[in-house]
Amino acid sequence: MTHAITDPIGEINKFDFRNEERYVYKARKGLDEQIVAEISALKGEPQWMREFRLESLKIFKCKPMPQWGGLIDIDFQEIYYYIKPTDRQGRSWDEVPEEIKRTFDRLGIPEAERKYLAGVKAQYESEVVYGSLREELAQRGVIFTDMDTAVREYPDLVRQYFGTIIPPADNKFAALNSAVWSGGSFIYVPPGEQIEFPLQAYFRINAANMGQFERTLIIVDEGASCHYVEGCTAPMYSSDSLHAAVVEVVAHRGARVRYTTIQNWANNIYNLVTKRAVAYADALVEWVDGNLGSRLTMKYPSVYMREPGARAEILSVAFAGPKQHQDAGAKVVHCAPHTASRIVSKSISRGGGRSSYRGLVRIEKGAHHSKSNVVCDALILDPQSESDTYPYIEIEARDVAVGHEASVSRIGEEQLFYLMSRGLTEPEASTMIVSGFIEPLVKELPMEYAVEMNRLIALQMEGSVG
Amino acid sequence: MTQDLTYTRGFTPQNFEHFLTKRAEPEWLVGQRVAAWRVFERLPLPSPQQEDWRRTDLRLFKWNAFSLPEREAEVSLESLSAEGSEFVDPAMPLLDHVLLRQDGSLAGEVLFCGDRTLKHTLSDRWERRGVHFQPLDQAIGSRGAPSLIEKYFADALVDFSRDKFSALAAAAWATGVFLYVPRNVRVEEPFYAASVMLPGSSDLTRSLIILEENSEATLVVETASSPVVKVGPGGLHCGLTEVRVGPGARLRLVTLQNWDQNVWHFAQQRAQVAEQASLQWTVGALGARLAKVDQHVLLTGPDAQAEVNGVMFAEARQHLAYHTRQHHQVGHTKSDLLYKAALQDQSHLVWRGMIRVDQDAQKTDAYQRNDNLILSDHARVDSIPGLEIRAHDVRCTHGATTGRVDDEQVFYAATRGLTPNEAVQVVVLGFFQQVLDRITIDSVREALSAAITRRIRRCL
Repeated sequence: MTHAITDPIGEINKFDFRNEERYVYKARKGLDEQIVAEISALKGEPQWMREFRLESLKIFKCKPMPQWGGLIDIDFQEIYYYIKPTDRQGRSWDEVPEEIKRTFDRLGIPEAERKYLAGVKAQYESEVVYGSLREELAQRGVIFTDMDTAVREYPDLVRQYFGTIIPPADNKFAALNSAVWSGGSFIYVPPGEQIEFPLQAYFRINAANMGQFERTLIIVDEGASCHYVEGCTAPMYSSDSLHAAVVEVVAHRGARVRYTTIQNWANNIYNLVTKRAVAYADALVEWVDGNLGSRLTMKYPSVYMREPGARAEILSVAFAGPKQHQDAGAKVVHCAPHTASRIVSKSISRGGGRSSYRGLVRIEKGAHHSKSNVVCDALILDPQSESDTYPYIEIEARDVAVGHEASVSRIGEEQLFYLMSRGLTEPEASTMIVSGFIEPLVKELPMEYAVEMNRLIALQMEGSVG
Repeated sequence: MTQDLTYTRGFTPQNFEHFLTKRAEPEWLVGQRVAAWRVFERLPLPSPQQEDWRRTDLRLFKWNAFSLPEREAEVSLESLSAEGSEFVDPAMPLLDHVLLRQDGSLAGEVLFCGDRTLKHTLSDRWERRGVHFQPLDQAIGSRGAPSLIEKYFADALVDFSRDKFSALAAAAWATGVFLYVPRNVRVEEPFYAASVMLPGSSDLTRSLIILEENSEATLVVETASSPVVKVGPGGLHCGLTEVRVGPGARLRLVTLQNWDQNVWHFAQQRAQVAEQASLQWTVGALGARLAKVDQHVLLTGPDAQAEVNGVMFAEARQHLAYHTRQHHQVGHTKSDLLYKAALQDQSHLVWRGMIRVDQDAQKTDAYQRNDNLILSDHARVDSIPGLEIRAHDVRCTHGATTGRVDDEQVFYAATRGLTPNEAVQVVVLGFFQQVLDRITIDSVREALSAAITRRIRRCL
């Protein structure tokens, strides 16, 4: 289905608006112990978290920059690590400061919440400015709050898991996040609870040179299930901003978790995110990861299958337009026998963009009867664009079945010809082929998101032909 | 630098000086060797921090176990066996571990033992037509060949400074295969070269294979260890191989290594295929304690084609790492790679492949496939296919599979009256059949298939 876009320029710039910077608190630029201690003090954090941050900062300083993936040109001293937009978190949209509320109105969040969401968090710069959860879910023991509140109100639960799935020493940007994190979601779903509607978080960067470092922790207890959706946008500034999130997910025995991301950052944001899930016996973890925005994305959602019967499904879709490099992918690690995983990656490069699939399938010793299947397809739409595929397969067990296939091609002349013979113009036909190409992603999205996704693809495709 | 200490025995500047003096080679070559030696001295051993070496453990490699090759006079098969070292079995033919040597008619044959030439023949018919087939060190001193070699060495495809082992091979290569087929000469019979390594020796080689416009040839090169009476001190091989297939030429090339499992094998192999030329390259990897091979194929002219076949079988504690690259520099080129591997015991296999398509190489058709069969609970395989595509009108695909022997297939074979062991043999051989079928040289196909069959132990 294609949408008639009456005002493509207006549409494509829909998220490119900025508000005047009016903040309750803005830490000075740069990164050192003092800033980290200041963030911790402002948040009134317990001793252990303060130490965790300072220790992470040390790790960050001695870790080298990754020597692979995209070119990261960041001056860490030129970034604002903490900006507090408001004094308190709103429980209803009316309590949110007018200007910020208008932002989220324009992004359609309150409307979506009324329609179909079970809970919403909206983060503006460093802090969550709005949060809600359906009454009835709270009564069932479901926790959906921002990470800062969780540290205060659920210290035992947080301390048990925080930083255990992704330790600060995992990589340079995980260490950075661990040092300066602020905001993000905390979800706990008690045993057996099924949440039918998605929980949603919306991340917005407004200030220039802003670093957003949200930290999300999702714990789904035995036999429970939940679906979490996040969206991200930012306006264009002439200087670059950084988004380095850490997302930890724990799926206990028999649990099901689905984590959906539609990333549509402006084209000057470095999006360097570490996402990892642990799946215990018979649990299912699904990552649905759509990357449309940012200047450079390096993100490889991963699942560690720790007990028999655990499963992982990862769907990654990347669209690299002009001046964009999407270095996205997926990692699955089979640590236990009888585990299964599937990775589907779709990428599109156009207008000089570069999309890379980078992935890992690892089967540990003793993880017999594991199965893994990886399919990567890439479309290159014009001669300026580039595509790479770097899958790593490491196997240390015998009774396994591992398959990987990948292909790179252009839009088929025959497909175009066929559609044009049916009366479509070339741009329409191309857009339709691309839409069909990413169909597996769109199919997995909640309806409203699917519609939005199709619109975004149509926008990305504007001017791609001719 | 601390690592200088490790050279005390064999790789000292004095020894290199001595090596050069004894060889009395032309100045341009000595100059190249000296330059490469400086690179060798400067470069550290590859570290596990380097992506290409991350999976290959060199900690047990010791320079002081080996030394620079010492040039000896030409010897006969018989005298060498008699002279033998304490490890060599004088009763066994020196070429006993060679798999592909055949009785059929050959265009030429070269047999080496380390840096010594045991035998060298080239049929008159081809010699008269300007074909060269001889040890590279002898070719340097022969008539007609040196200017050719100088020309190709001046514009080498291999990169000396890629790593320490390449630099060593470039500095101190003792011998190697030189094949030159002039324009429009189509050699029907195969050329055959075999090299046997004695225990404890270093085999440093450089090979140059040139097919001029519209020529045709088949070359089978194999390397093995000498038969031994007791386990010897192993060996070191560093090799550079350079292949150029000229416009419209056709080359079938087989390289098989069947060294003992105490040999360190480091090789850099580069082939360039010009317009309308075709290369069929079959690689057999059965031996070595540790093998690290970089095999690149460059397609440099329209309608160039390359087919690369790999047969790998690892056992015991072998570590075999093969890195392949199919580089499409221009459009309308085609490459097709298939590597099949089986693993027994605690072996470790790495295959890392890359299809690279340059920006102007539209209409490229490239394929890459790696299948692995794991026959033991303790083996490990890393399979890393890759695509780097800079053109848009292309068809590039790769596939990789890893699995075990299918119980149902074994059961089926057993119901047909085979013992379980025979059944597994049949299934494993069946796994390799796809790649064996692509080898168009009957004797090579049969010998490889026999070698695989011998390797398969009961693994249920």
